[in-house]
Amino acid sequence: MKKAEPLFLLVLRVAMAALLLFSAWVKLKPEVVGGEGVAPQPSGPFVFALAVSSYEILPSSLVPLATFAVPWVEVVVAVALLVGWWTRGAGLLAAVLLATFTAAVVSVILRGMNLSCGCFGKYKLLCDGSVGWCKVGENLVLLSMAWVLAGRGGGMLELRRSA
Amino acid sequence: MSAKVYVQAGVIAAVGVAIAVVDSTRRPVKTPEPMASPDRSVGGQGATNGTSSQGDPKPAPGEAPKAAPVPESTPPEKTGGQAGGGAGGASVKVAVADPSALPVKIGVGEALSMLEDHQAVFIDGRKADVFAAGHIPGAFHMQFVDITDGNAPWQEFFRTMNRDDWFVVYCDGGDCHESEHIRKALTNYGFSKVLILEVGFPGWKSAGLSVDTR
Repeated sequence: MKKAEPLFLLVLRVAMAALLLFSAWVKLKPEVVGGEGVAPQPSGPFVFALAVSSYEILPSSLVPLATFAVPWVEVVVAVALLVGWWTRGAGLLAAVLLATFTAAVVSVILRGMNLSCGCFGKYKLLCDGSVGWCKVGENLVLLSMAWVLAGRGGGMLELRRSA
Repeated sequence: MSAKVYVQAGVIAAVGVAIAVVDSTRRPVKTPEPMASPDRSVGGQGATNGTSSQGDPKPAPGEAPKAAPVPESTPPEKTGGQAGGGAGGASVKVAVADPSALPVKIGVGEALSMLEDHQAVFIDGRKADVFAAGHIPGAFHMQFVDITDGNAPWQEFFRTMNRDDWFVVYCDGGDCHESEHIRKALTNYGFSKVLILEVGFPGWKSAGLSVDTR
């Protein structure tokens, strides 16, 4: 069991990195410019900004920064996890992000709002795109994965061992 | 967990935020221009702009009001002489002489008037199953996700609709954000004359107005 742990941690961190990169891509993808008779599609930031503002948690002045900060932090965390550089710090930050998202989702549920979460765009992981207790459970699973990485490090093939 | 791990997390976060600041200045999120009219609610029944006679709205120059150009839609049902009005149509209708004088969020009375007078294309932003169960007569079904994903309803809308037309978007009313999201996306692409039926379909239905299931 002890021998399998480094491999388990490697799989965990690659999975977490892939998930974060995908989530970031959905939020950062550029606008699809329409052509002759073909409709354009709004950019990821445009759609994510609407999702962020619909949560009614941040003041509107902070929405543009949050719109870009969330996915870019996800990208940097994902790269750190992928290459195994400061894995524990990256895992801790992923856990903080997920705890923040979970708190936001719970706040929306408690206020009785009916929103789509804006997490993975049209794609879904375990739950559909709407905010609900399923999403809280999904986030808690991801948060526990991140917490394991924060506590145990990245296992095999780390570029630089964490503290 | 050692202090070093917290420092690592802080540095990673700082790098991410720094990149975000650069990216946000490079391609700022376009926010739609606010409409000329103030964004204020007029409630479920609506009580504004009732100055002109019903049925003979005066279009703005160069802007010919027309029936909703929705290929699959049907004309509003006529019930008791009130097109689309249903049983409660006569009592709630509020004549709209000039849609540009309306607030962004309108009530059932103004929406009914705009429907009957063919002043606007109605957009139903709800899910397909609830749309099929009942919608405002002649409404075009298009969800926000159709716009973000470039789905067929958005393609058809983009191809067939005129940017000079008025649109009324509705969803489930209350805390439903679909209408607002659709309005912002449409405004982003030049469809700037978009109003929201604030009480949504539930408000329309509870006012006793006619519903189409085709």
